[in-house]
Amino acid sequence: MLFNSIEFALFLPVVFFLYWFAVNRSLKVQNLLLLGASYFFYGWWDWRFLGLIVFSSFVDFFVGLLLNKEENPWKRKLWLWISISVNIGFLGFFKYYNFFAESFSEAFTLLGAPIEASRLSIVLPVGISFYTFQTLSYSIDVYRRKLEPTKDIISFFAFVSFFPQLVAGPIERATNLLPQFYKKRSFDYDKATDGLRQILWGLVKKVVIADNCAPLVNQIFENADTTSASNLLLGAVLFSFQIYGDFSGYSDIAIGTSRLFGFNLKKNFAYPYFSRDIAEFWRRWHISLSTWFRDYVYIPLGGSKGKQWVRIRNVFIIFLVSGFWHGANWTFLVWGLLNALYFLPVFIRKKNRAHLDVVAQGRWFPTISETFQMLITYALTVLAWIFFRADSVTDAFVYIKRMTNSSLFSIPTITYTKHLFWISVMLLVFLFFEWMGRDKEFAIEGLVKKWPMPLRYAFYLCLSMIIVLFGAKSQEFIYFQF
Amino acid sequence: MKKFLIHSVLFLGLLAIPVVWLFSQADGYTDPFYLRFTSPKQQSMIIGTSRSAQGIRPDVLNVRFPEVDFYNYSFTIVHSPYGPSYFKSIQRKIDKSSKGTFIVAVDPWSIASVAEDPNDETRFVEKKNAVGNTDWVSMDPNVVYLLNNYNNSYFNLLKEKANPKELLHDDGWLEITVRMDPGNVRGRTKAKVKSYTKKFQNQRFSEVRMQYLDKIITFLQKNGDVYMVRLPISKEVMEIEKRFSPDFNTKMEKLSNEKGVPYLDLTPQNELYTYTDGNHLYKESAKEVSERIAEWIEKENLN
Repeated sequence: MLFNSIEFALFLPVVFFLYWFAVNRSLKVQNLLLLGASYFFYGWWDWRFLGLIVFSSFVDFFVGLLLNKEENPWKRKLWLWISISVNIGFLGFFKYYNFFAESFSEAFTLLGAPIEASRLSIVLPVGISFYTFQTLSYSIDVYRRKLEPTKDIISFFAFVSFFPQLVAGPIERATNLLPQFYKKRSFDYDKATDGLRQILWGLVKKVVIADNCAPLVNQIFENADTTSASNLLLGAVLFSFQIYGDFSGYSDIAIGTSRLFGFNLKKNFAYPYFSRDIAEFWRRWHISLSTWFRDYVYIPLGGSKGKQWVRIRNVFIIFLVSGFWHGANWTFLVWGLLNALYFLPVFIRKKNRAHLDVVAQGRWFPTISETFQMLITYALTVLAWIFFRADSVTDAFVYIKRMTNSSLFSIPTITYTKHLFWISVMLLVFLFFEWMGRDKEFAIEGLVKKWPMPLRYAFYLCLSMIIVLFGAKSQEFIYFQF
Repeated sequence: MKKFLIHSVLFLGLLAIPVVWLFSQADGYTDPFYLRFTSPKQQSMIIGTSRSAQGIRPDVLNVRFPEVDFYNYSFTIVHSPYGPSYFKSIQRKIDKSSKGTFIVAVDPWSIASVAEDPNDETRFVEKKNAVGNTDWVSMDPNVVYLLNNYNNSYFNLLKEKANPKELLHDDGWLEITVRMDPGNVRGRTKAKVKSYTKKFQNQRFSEVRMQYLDKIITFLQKNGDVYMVRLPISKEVMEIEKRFSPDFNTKMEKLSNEKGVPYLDLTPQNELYTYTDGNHLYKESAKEVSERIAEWIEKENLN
């Protein structure tokens, strides 16, 4: 079920009413309702894959209990590895099997000993990368004794499958989300209205920004070998907004929806395109994944401690793994590698924590130096996004190569010129709001709260009408494929 | 909670006003199908694909038969080949309050499906499109249709319709206005021949679709008089059809005899008419063909 669909528009109020009116007296029944609603939400795509979530949840639930009971370090390690193997095993099979089979086949062919790779005709279960990481964090935290395992199976299953963030994050930690299932939740007007505001802004990002960029991006990337350099630049820039609007829009809707049910999810995006260096970008982009890798991969590897080469190795590992998490394609690995290379100079000079504050805090405009830093960081990011979007590494290189000729300075000539004009206007307005709200949880959070009610309503109605009028045909969220 | 609900309902109520107004702006220029899902239930209908959608004009028939109010409920080969979806849609659209008259346009493609397994209903293309996914076929404005099937942003509903190429009339006839100079017609015909040559390779006669054609005729017979028609096409497309389904007329004549439904094959007169793309009658020819069909129905009634 897509957030931007009629089905969800019906599903959400039904669950909301049942949750707050029918079963509000019992926390257990409320959790059970959330679990049922989450399975229904997921099963709407393909009910067959529900079995995977249920199995993963069972394994981690019992591994958690056993880890707590067991004192023998070897046996504890064994239980942890069982959890990791099951979760990563599913992920590896569904997401990476064909990639490895093909890569091995190609490698052997290159070495002069061609072998036939047997491809499997398998569908990638939606959201598997997200819920796998979420449930894994539970087992690891219990293993590290950072978290008491739960004996409440309903809460645990609901935590793994919580529908607002089940298919595309934010990837929640058990330490944050699971305890919220134990506590009695009472309806909070401010929290719920904030949730609705965030849902509204998320829909603007997804339906108006991302989905309107999508046809132009597709057109340009599909004709990359024939179109002009300026068109290619335009395609890459539009893709940067498409992926941001798509993914951060999803996160906003997920966080907003959770608030309606009394839950607080982690912030997943913090205006990444206003970053002054690549380290800041990665603190602001897909925060829940970056911090997951930091806590469960980077720090166990030694993090930023130890010899210089070890630290550099760790940086490369984390970016490559992060790239590979996104998809079974060399393009994502190159995207990760490129980001590691961007990060390296900042890291070596120990400047990776130079920009922890919000840019131009307390000011309307950034300084010239801040503007320059933001533009450079954005340009580097756009370049990396080309690998992310391209079908193959070769395509990405061709794209970049073709982007660097004299036609770069020509006026973009694309089929949907009128469409482009409207998108440019919408992007400028969108950027204005994002800039104005850059120190807030989401862009319009603080903007309208103090306005008188009629004005506030008029603003929300305007945004809603913009979604209705200019929203493109609903498209799947890009991150569902990861 | 009370405050939250009151504010939410108030907001949704306020939002509904411009949204309903926006959707009410949808008309015959919106897309080639919309009005067919907003018109009331119908007693007399023209059934078929895009050939009949463009080629049979209810306004012409209604002059000849003032007591019958024909409505063109044909779509396209992708939307309304004979099958379960179209059958359901016809059942929903029909007004059973009194007997009507029905013209069922047939062609080889409307009883064909994917070559690998033409009888596999799960692979019928129309299941997921407008005819298959629109349960409310007489709702005005048809919000459900617009939400599910309108492929542009809704802002387009407000745009000026200067020089429209497609206009869906209130009686369901789809008027196409294109340049008819020989060069343009040749170009479009060439493209159509190419697409039908491809279709020829990918499609096969479907027994299941044929059964549905039979079922639809039986159903319509219970609600009035039924006439089967094969519309004329250009000689280029005819050549492909002859190769694709050499025994098509035999099949139709057999069905016509079994059902006791008159069948008119207009393809022997292909040369008499003009086509926008070799496959669809141009509006002037559509008028002539509709008159020809009206004459034939009159004769059949006399007999």
